[in-house]
Amino acid sequence: MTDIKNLTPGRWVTSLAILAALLVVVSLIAFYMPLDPLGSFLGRGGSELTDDILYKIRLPRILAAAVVGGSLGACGVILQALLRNPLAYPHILGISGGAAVGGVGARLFGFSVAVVAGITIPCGAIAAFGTALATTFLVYFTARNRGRLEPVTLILVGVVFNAFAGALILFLFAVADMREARGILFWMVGSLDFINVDLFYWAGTIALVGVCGLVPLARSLNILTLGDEAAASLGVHVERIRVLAFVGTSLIVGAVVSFCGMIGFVGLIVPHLFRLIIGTDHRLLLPASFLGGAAFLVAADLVSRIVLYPIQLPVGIITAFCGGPFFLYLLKSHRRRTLNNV
Amino acid sequence: MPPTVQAGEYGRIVSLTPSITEILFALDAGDRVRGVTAWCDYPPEAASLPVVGDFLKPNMEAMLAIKPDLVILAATGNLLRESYDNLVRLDLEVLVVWNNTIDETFEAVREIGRVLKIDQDAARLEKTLRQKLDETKKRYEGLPKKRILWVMGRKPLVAVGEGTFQNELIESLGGINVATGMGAWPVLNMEFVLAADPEIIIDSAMDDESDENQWKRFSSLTAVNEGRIHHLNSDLVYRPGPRMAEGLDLVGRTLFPEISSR
Repeated sequence: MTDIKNLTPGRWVTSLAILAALLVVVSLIAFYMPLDPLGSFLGRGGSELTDDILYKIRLPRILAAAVVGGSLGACGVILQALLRNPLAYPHILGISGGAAVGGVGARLFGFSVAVVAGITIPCGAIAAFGTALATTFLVYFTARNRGRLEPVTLILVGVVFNAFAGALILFLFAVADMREARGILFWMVGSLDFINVDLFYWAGTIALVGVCGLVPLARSLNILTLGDEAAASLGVHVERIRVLAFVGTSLIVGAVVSFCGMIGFVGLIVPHLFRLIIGTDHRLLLPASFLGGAAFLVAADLVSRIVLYPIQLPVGIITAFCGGPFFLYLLKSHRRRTLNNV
Repeated sequence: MPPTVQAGEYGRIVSLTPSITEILFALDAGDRVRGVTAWCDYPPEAASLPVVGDFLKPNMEAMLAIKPDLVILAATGNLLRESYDNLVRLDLEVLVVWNNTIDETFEAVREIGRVLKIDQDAARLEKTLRQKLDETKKRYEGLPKKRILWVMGRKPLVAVGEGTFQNELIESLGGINVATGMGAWPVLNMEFVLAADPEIIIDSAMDDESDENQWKRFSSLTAVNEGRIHHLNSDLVYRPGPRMAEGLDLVGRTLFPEISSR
């Protein structure tokens, strides 16, 4: 609790300014990076090729990485507080699994896109988002007990839904044509290359609006971590906060997963990382995890595209490779604080 | 290397690969085939045979129910290692052949001919096939060499690389595959595709128009400017077997539409 007392406006502004600057620097490096890490390709400058690479591939990709990383980082913070569980992460409540089932199903049953009146409609993504919402309501009504949303029940129901969705995906995988199989893998590990730009603008907007909508919950999340009774006695509408946080994060996660699949590790590692560095006050932790998650995923995506160029690695591999050891190092060097401090 | 299979009068054969099924029927040994995979749909007679699962996951019980005296499978990388071990554990006679390239396919035809004691049919099939391939190649001879990218999957972007049947089809027609030197099925960075700037893109993973629009966004691509994004999704180019000359012709017609109209 010392952290919460310590949060001054000055510290809030400085911390977030540093993180925002970090995000900008990482994004600029990712943007201007030579094509081949050993070459100096982009020096040619101004050609149509350079323009295509910079504005049609890198710009949307960096924006997508920032929005996805930020959203997953912020959702991780909220879910860890909401479920009072340090192991919570954005894909834990079965929402992502639901989205993946919709996306995979739409692809296998051959309606991944439709053209109506000359406008291409990405049915796969809409199906993914739709099943994510449906899963949200299913999980919510299953976990609700006598008008209350208990964290333990919610997490249990979520884990079961996740396993169920996983089984459904594996079932679709088993009956799918081999050439479709790689497409299914996309939903399981996530990817930021070859994204559908129009789709990203829609999904990204939903995610950003969602995150902005959840920022005002930060103060209540601080109080929620003290326990239900303490929170209620301090005037927090525990149920209302829980429902808002749950539906809000589900919406964000559904939107993000529907266009880039389940990118792992960011939503688990980033919140803990910032809890260790800047403390447990959600008023700072939430926006910090957004900016930090964004910078982290932009950097991870940069590494994934240059480390074996021209081979493209799945970004999820990089988030785990880089994030894991760094996180363990931080954990070791910040012994005083513990992870249970969510 | 699996042990050599003795030649014999095998009459209850199970084929675990669509291209092998096609070879068996082309060798007039179709009446000896008693089981196939769910994907063996050519010739049409093969499609009505009992199915023993798909070729990555054969169902061992369905297999034993057929009481095969010989199981034939084509080795695709290490994919079938587990199947092979399981089959051998059940005391089944298993013939493993390789057909990742055109030459390997001829070897496979000869090997099947030897084991089934139909060497002459095998020699005859090889001769006609070689002839057909040469005739097809000749039709596309002396054409300008084009830089080609053949896409097999999106999300991630998977291309045809070295050591694959499809790469051989491209090179037999004088094309230059831009995705060589990175293994058989490289997962590519889109930036590399723009820098390599293929003149023709064959996209076998395209579902519909919107997938084509994904390419059209990149106005620096020569293939886009010249309208050379082609959809090609046919078993003819996926199965190194008796129909590979037709597959070669299909790729040829795709790469050089001006020739086929001649």
